[in-house]
Amino acid sequence: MTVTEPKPRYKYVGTRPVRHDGLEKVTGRARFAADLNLPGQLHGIVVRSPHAHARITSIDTSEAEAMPGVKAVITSEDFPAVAPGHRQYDMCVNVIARDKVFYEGHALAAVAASTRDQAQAAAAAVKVEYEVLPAVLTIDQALAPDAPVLHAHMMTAGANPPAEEASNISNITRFSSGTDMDAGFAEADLVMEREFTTRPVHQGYIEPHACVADTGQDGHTTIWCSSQGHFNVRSSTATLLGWENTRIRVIPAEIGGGFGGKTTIYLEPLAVALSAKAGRPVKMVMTRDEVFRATGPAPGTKLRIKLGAQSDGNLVAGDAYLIYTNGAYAGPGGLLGAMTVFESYNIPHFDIEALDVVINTARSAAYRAPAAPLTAYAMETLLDEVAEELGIDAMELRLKNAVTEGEPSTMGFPFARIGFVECLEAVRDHPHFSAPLGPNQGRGLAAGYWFNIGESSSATVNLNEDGTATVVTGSPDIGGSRASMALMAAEELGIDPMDIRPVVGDTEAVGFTDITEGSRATFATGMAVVEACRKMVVELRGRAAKMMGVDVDDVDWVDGQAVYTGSDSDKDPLSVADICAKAKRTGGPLTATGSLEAHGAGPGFAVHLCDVEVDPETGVVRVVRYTASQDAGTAIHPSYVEGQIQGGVAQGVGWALNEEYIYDSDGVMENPSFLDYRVPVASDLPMIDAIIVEVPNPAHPYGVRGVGETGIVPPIPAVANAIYDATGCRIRDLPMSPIRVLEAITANGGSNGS
Amino acid sequence: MAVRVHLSSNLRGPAGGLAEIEAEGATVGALIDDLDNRYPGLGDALRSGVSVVIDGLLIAHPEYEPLAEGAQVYFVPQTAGG
Repeated sequence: MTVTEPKPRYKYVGTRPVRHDGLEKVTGRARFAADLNLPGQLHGIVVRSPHAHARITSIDTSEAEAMPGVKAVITSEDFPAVAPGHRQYDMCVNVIARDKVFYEGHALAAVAASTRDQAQAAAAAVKVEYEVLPAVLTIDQALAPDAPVLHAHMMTAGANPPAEEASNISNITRFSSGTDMDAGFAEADLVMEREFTTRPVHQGYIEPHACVADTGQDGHTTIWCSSQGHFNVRSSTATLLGWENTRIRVIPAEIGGGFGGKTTIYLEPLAVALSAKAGRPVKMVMTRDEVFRATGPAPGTKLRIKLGAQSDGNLVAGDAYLIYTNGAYAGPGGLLGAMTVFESYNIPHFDIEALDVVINTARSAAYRAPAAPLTAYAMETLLDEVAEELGIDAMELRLKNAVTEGEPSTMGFPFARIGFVECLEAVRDHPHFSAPLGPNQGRGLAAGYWFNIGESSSATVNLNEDGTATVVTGSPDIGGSRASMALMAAEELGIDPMDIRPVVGDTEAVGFTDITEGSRATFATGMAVVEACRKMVVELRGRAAKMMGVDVDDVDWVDGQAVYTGSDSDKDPLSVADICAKAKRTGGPLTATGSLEAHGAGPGFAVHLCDVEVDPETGVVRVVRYTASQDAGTAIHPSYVEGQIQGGVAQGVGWALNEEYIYDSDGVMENPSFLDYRVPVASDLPMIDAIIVEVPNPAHPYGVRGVGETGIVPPIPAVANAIYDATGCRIRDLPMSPIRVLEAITANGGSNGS
Repeated sequence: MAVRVHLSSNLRGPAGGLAEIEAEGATVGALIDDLDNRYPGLGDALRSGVSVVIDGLLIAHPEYEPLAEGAQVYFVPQTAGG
């Protein structure tokens, strides 16, 4: 279902062709990183710390090196030294630990051998001596006055007055309206304050991290890997190795899920170093256990929010104190949480303070709309409470306070055209909104916001001799972006989308392109494709003018054809195929490139409505109906926009109900498998009804905003509000697992809060 | 080129807490130089990890972005994504 405002009529944009890479993926022909095998290939295994916090006193690799089949063993000694202050210090020491390990699973050495079994045996034979240090495992422990300080160099950024001693607080962010908060809350008829806690969760991509590296005697290496950005893999690997970028070629494999978790690197520098040492290709594939223990979960949090509202529902004041754990190293969780917590609503008096805290768990990585789902959990459930207390419908409260074009964001700038109100109205007008509920069922409403970003992208369009086209970009396709690129190129050139082959080029085949993150691929790389196509049309008009023997100014490009508009004589239009067929005689191959830094990323809003059924005897929560609206700007391929919305909902429901990292008292993860870390599967979820709202982004040639992230922001509060509606219980501690729901029901006096 | 600068609240420290400042610059880089001359330390705060919004357009790396007379320039933290 699509709600649109008037927009240009497109021939291809907005249609739903089968994706170009679809058949290969559903038939198993698509090549993921772990599918590649090279002649003479060795297998690499990482040696990981069993301790959450320890000083490495010695590493003895001699026994491992002498074992059968072993060709290379590396430690941090095989990499250039780095010191605090280095631009990518945290990334470098996370990939391979130097003098200390900061979490259980921290890599500290690696082995390459002829077989995986031999490599595993040798990895177990690497002798590491540790001085075990007290582990800091929670926010409260990290902030305790006598807490062990993880990093002696960590002086809190943003502290006022400036920090004079190291601490576990990496950053403090403060945003405020600059107004008198006491006076602001004094304007309110109702003031409510609530606290929330959440735990780290994993992105849960099905494909573990994997790569193959082949380093030659010329000192150049080729890496095949699964990532969200192969140019980033190149530069980060070069940084760790102390190499120039030109020594590294990265070929992107298909990616089996990333969701932000593959915007950083773990294995690639190790594989290159092992390959260089052994003189053979080296393949490394993480186990699921390693993925959980050593790759980035989303942060855990402690959140406190206070809202003041007038009796008519006007929000007048908001105070937020947000603490994010980013694992063992500094991270942006608090900053991003602070930037999103009040962003959807007009609140004239606000004060936000956010802390980023380090603890002895794996270094956090991005996860769809990083930090925003958690602030939405707090803000949107508290909004529900405010609405109930004031006797105002939850939808009406949101409509009354929703930000619109021209109104200031928390950062101060006025919003450009945005579609928050349209998303609210789309849900309000959906049959789900007024459908009756069954026994033990409840309904929850929640909204969400995410910035979306631009950054750099490149594209090359090559026209083939028969008039078909190849579109090469540098954006790994993690959500259907190949189809989007083909559709935009089709619209510009007038070629059928299935006559366009969208290709993800390697680091030597296409211009620099930033990571596929921030919902940027269809927005920014799409702009590069459009730019390349428009240059191509200029060239096609020139070639057609030559063929017609007329002035180029008398040739227009109309619906995929060069059309003569002069008055000298009649000329038949020339198609792309006509022009391509004569390309050798009119100037040679037809190629055009587009490279740009994309400005004007448009914010995305989403509004979700969730029905749950709660078993009052077991606390099990089942999502029985779900409707999600989201402003896509323009949906280039509506099916994949719907897929992004549905995927965000599925992951958000898992985050709400089941997912959490569980550690023992020593910081050892106790549930590092999909058996014990429960993500939703298809049978756990109903059909998710996706409503695409289209309020075009004025900065994009087709109005694209980007849709990959916003959909994960509202599900947690939508589920929480639905559970409250079903049970009368507010649960402010994630996940809302059966045991917590049952405890809440019991504490509330029995089923349904009665 | 005279423009009006708006600082998000986390960037106001070096500017003595000011939210808005009149400043000069033909480009965002020149504007930051002007601001740094008048508010030492503000330049460092604005050159790293900061984006601008000009006429509703978010620009992540704005150093050489030209400015029009009377432009409204909002400095905001740079965002990332997943």
